Amino acid sequence: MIDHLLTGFATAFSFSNLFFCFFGVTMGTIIGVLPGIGPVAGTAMLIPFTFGMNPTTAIIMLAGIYYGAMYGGSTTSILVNLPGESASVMTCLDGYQMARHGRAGAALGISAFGSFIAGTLSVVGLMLLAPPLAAFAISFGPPEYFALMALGMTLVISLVGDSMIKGLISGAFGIFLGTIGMDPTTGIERFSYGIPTLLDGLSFVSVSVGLFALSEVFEMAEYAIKPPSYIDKISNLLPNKEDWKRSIMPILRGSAIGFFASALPGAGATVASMLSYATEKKLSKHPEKFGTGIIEGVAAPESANNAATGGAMIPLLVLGVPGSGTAAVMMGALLVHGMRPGPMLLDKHPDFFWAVIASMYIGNVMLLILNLPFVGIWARMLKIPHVILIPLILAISSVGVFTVNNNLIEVWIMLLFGVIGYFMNKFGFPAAPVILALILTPRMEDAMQQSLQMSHQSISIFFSRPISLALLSVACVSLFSPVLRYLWSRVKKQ
Amino acid sequence: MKRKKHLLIAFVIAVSFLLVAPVDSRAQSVLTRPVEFVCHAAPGGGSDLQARFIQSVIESEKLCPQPVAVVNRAGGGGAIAFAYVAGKKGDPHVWLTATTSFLTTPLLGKSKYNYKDFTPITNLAYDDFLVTVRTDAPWKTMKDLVEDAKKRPGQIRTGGTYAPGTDALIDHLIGKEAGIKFNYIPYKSGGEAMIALLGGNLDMFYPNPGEALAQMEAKKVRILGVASAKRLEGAPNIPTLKEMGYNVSMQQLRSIAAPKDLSPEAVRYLEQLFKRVANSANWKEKYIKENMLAWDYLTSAETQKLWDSNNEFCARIMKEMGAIK
Repeated sequence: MIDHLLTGFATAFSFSNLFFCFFGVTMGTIIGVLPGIGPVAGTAMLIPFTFGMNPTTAIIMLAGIYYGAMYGGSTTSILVNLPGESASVMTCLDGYQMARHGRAGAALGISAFGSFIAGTLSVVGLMLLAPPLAAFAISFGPPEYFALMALGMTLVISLVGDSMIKGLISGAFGIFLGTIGMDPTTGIERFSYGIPTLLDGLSFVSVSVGLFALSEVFEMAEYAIKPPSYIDKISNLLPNKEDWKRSIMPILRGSAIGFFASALPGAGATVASMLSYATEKKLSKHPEKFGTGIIEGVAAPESANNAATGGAMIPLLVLGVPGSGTAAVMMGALLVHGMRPGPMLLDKHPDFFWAVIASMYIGNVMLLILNLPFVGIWARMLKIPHVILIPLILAISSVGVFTVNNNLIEVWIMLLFGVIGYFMNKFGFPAAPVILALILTPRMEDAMQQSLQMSHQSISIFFSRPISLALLSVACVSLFSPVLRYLWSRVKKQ
Repeated sequence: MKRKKHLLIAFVIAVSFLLVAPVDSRAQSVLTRPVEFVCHAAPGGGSDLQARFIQSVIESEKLCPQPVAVVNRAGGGGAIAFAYVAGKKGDPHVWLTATTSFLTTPLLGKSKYNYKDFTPITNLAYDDFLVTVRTDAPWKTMKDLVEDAKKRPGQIRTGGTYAPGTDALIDHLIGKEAGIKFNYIPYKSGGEAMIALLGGNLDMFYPNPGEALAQMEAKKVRILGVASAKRLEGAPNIPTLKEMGYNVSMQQLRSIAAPKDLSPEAVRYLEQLFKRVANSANWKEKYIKENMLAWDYLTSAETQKLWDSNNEFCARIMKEMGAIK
């Protein structure tokens, strides 16, 4: 293996490969910073460009865009509560609060370091665990996905905030939003009112940009004249020793969750970042502080979404089946070069596989070097007066949301959710459960319908398969643990 | 004072737009400004790749005086893209990728515009469907499968993309021809269905050759037959379902459409343009061959006939399935 890796590095260090790796990660960072254009659209745009390259260089560049976007996505989440791509939504929760308390530098710094650590660990994982993990991934059928999403759904509770009732109302609202669109099995339309845009369901990007960024912009507009006090004190640009102590375990756990969850084609980076945030909150000694701007809340999801990039390559490189949109684009690029990704790829083209792995190590180092100097510059962006910042965020959000499908209705949806988010904020309803439920509901429903179709409508299928049963048991524990803890404390008092 | 300044700026911007617009109209060609090549599906799918490949062929071989930009307008089974392009009546600068969903989405009543609201330009390829099972499945041939399915109706799990797409149509046709019934489980994409097949959550699936052949080489799957009139050029050892006595023949179209009411010159121009794309070595070698497609080039009138017959066929099958009235 060491031999292979060294040959891989030799290939990856050729001038053109290094150059396109650098080009890819830089493009990726920019794509990540801009909302709307995510890694899928970003890589697809560059496809014709890759036709003239050799396949190894092409994939080195496209992979660079993919993991580069995960680095860039955190920037606007932290600075202005604007998720740069969908896997960065969770970073908004604590990242933006940190920025408001003058700790944008530490938040940006930990997400750069966390991304680097997680990105590198996931390449190690890809290198060592790819074939067994691919076997694990295919063992996940619809019942297992249903159980995984059910577990994710129980985590909504950990995101409720101060009031359980309000949090659950938010979660229920998110589930409702997730049912909009065409029923996956029968094709019957639900709540779409003849609007074609709604047939495929609400776009996650439009809703999350509305609920997070726009509602915040409206809030800012209230104080547009008088600048708030926090903008003067931008201190310690990099995470300090205390930050590191608190972040290291979330980074490692986030890396593991991101890597394993994203190897499952039905889960992906966004779900992974949500699972890791919620896990940290569950494990924390001070869960009530999540959402107020603590560094663990940034470190965990940012590590998870970077670790996801290594995991997402596994179905493509080992099985020859694209597990995500970006992987599908890469597969298209490979086919054009006469290289058919499939189970034989590792045997037939080991040089290709190892060069891509080596380039991912190099790319992660490049990204760290590329991103750290910007931390200070980005953090100073917060000194921009609101009268300029507000129209700027509005413009970037609208253009970004428009570019997802080149559809103006998406911009209206974003504005609508901006208004909804503003009032939710005013009345103390948290936005995070809406977002979590919105992303999990369609996946959970698909998996449930597929499972029931498999079993001829018998729910026993969820309990008769070991992985599904285990996940559902964990979900039950997660759901009832607060009740049990409460009862236990009552018993102890008596 | 400040307000006057703003007005001035607005005026300058407005004037500069007016200055830019008419410059191109001096050109003689049919295409006088950049082409918007609308893809009805999201980035990463088969139609997206096709559109981007066409774009690269046109650009590298300088077939068109204007730049071509691929724009994804995904959603609603293509309905969003159809509505957008249909609204550009008479404009040769807007092209559309058209596959079987171009016919089935309107048939299902999900799109206000059907294929009659467009000008056919050409059909560039056909994609086939393979009847695929796992290598460790008990069925060695189509006959084994049919016999087993007769013994336990509704037990063999087949799958494909969301109902009622092309996969569901094939499933229905095979079931009808062989007198059997499968348990059809819809998946979001062909990739997810393939993973379900490999993992034992599906027994049978109908991938395109480009999706299945790598798995076949690795001996992960066995291909029982191809659902087309003649054998595949790239894999001639796979028998057709027709040879085995099941009259199931269906192919995914890969056509190009433009808005209605194009001038005859514009239609002729685009026919010629795409003829050159279809005949380019790059297109034949890298796109058609690597994706295991069947090459095609049709004129506008021939494409119209192809759409008519395919639409009639899809409508009939979907009525049988009970998907439409």
